[in-house]
Amino acid sequence: MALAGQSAQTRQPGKPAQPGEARQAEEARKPAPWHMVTGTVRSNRPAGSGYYRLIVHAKPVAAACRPGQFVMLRAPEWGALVFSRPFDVYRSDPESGTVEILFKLKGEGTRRLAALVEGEQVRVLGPLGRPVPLPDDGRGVILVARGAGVSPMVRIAQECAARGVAARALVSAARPDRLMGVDDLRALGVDVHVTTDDDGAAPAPAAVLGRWAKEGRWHGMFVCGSRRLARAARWACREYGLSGYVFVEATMACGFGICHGCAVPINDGGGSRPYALACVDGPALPIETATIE
Amino acid sequence: MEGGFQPDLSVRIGPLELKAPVMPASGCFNAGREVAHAFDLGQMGAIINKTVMPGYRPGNPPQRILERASAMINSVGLPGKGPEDFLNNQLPFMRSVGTRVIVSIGGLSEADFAQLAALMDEQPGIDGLELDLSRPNHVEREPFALSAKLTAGVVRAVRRATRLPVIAKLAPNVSDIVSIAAAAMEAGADALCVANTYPAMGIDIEARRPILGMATGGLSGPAVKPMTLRLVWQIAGALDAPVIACGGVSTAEDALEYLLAGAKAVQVGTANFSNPWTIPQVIDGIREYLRRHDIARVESIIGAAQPFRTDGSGAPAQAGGTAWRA
Repeated sequence: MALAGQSAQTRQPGKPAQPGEARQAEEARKPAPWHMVTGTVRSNRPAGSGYYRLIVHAKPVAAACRPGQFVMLRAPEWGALVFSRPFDVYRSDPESGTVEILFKLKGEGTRRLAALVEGEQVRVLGPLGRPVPLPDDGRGVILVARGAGVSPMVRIAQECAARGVAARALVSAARPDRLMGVDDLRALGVDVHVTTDDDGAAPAPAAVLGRWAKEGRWHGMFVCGSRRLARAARWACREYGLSGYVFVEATMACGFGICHGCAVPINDGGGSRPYALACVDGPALPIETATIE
Repeated sequence: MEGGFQPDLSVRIGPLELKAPVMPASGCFNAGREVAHAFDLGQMGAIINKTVMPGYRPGNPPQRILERASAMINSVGLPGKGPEDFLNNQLPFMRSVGTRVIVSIGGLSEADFAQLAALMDEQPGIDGLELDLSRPNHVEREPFALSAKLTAGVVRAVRRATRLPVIAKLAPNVSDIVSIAAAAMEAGADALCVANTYPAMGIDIEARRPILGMATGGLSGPAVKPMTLRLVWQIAGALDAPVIACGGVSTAEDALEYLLAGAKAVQVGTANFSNPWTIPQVIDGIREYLRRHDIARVESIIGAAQPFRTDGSGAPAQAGGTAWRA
C-alpha cells in the first residue's frame, strides 16, 4: 500500500468529478420512509466460515429497499440486549417480499439471529440509510468487497442486472474457502475476480483496481469490508477520475438518525463538520469523505 | 369497562396541562421529524428537542455508544448547530405537531442559560423550557445539578429571563436529591425532570482501553429504572413539586410505576431507539390499565403508592411534608 499512498499524495487526480454531477448523485440518494414489521423467517442456514444466510419475508421493507440500504433486525427473544443489529441487505425481492442477509457470528445478537428457524418471527426495521447512485451514462461499476462486505455488492449487482449496467467485482478473503457471494455475483452477470491473502502471486489490489479504472468503461467503485481495499480503490478513483463510495460501519442504536451514536470521522476539507452518521449519511459515504486511514 | 370508555389521560404539571403523561426524553428524539411518518406525534403529552446549546457543537469523537446488559452508555456530546438553526429548522416543525412544545436548553454558564431562555421567551408557540443541568458528558464542566447552589443559580438566572414554565432536569448521581430538587423549586422552577443518565463506562479487555471515545458516558435504558424510580419516590414523598420521570421507560408498566411513585408524567428515551413506536404503545398501555381498573382519570393514580396517599386520590403532598426517604 505504500506505493498507492505515495502516488495519491504526489499526483493530480486524472479527471475531477463535476460538481453538478456530484449534486445530482446525492439528490438521487434520498431514501423512502422506513417501516417496522414483524417478518417471518423463510430460511436461515450456515454459509460456511461462521457466516449465515437469513431470508426474511418482510414485504414493505423488501418493496422499498434500494441498493446500498440496510435493515435493523431483532429476534423475538433478545434477552438483555438493547440495540437491534444493523445488516446491509444482501438481496431483496419485491415479488416474493423477502430480504436476504449475510451475517457473521460475532456475539449474542448474531447468535440469537442464527438460532432462528423457518417460520419464526423476526422484527425488521428498514430500509435504512441512503441508497447508492448507479450510473446511467453507459459506463459500469466496480464492486470491491471482503467477507460479509460482499452483501451490499450483491444488492447493487441485482440493480445493475435490472438496469443493464455492467459490473465487475474484486472479492477478497483470507483463504479461498472464505470467499463469500462469488456465485451469486456471477449469477447476476458480474465479472468476478477473486484474490486471497494466501496467494503469494496475486497482484496488489491497488494494481488490479488501477488497471481496471484505466479502461475508461467504469463510472465508479463501491467498496465494503476492508480499509486496505478502500484505500486501494480511493487511489484508483483519484488516479483515473472515477466516483467512489465506501461502506462504513459503527455501533448503532436506532438506525434512523435520532441517537447520534454511529458517528464516524470524515474528511470535511477543514470545515466544521468532522463527523457523519453512518445510518443516515451512509452507510455508503463518498470515498473522499470517508476516513479510511 | 366498556370498549367505549375513554379515561382522561391529561395531567397538570405546574402551569402546564398535558393531554397525556408521556413525552420523549430530550436527546432521544431529535425534534421528532425522523419518526413523524411512523405515528401521530400529536398524541404525545409534549414534544422536546435535543438540547440546544449556545453555538455549533460537533459532538464527541467515536465510539459514542455502547451496549450493556439492559442498558446503553452514551457519550454523544450534544452535537448541534446552535440556536439559529433550532429556531429556523426545528422549532417550526415542533410547533406543527399539535402538542405542547418544550424546548430543552443547555449551556456552560448561568449566562448561557439566561440568554437562551430570553431568546426562547421571544418566540411564539413555546409552552415551556427544560434546563439540561445534568448531562454527564460535559467535557467542559461538571453538571450544575450535582450542587444545590449551582442548580439554584441557573434556575434563578433563567427565571429572571423568561415567564415560560421552567423544568429543571436533575442528575441522579447525588447524595441528597431532595435538597437539590428543593433548591431548584425555591429558585423558581415550575417542575422537575428526574433524572438524567448515570455516569458509567466500559473497557475493551483485548485493547485494554476504554471503549467510549471520551472514556466515560451516561448509562440509560431498562437497567436504570429501579434506581430512578427511587429518586422520583423520594422527591414526590418529600416535596410538593411536579415531577416528570425520566429513566428506563420502555413499557406502560414502567410508566405506571413512575406515576404510582408520584411522577405526573414520564419521558421515553433509550427505548425510542430500539422501538420507535414506544411512546404511543406506552400511552395505549396506560389507557388500558385505567380501563381495566375502571379509573376515569390518570391523575387519580399519581402518587398512589406513596404511604400518605393510599386513598389513591392523587391529593398533593402535605405542604412542607416531612421527608419520606427510602
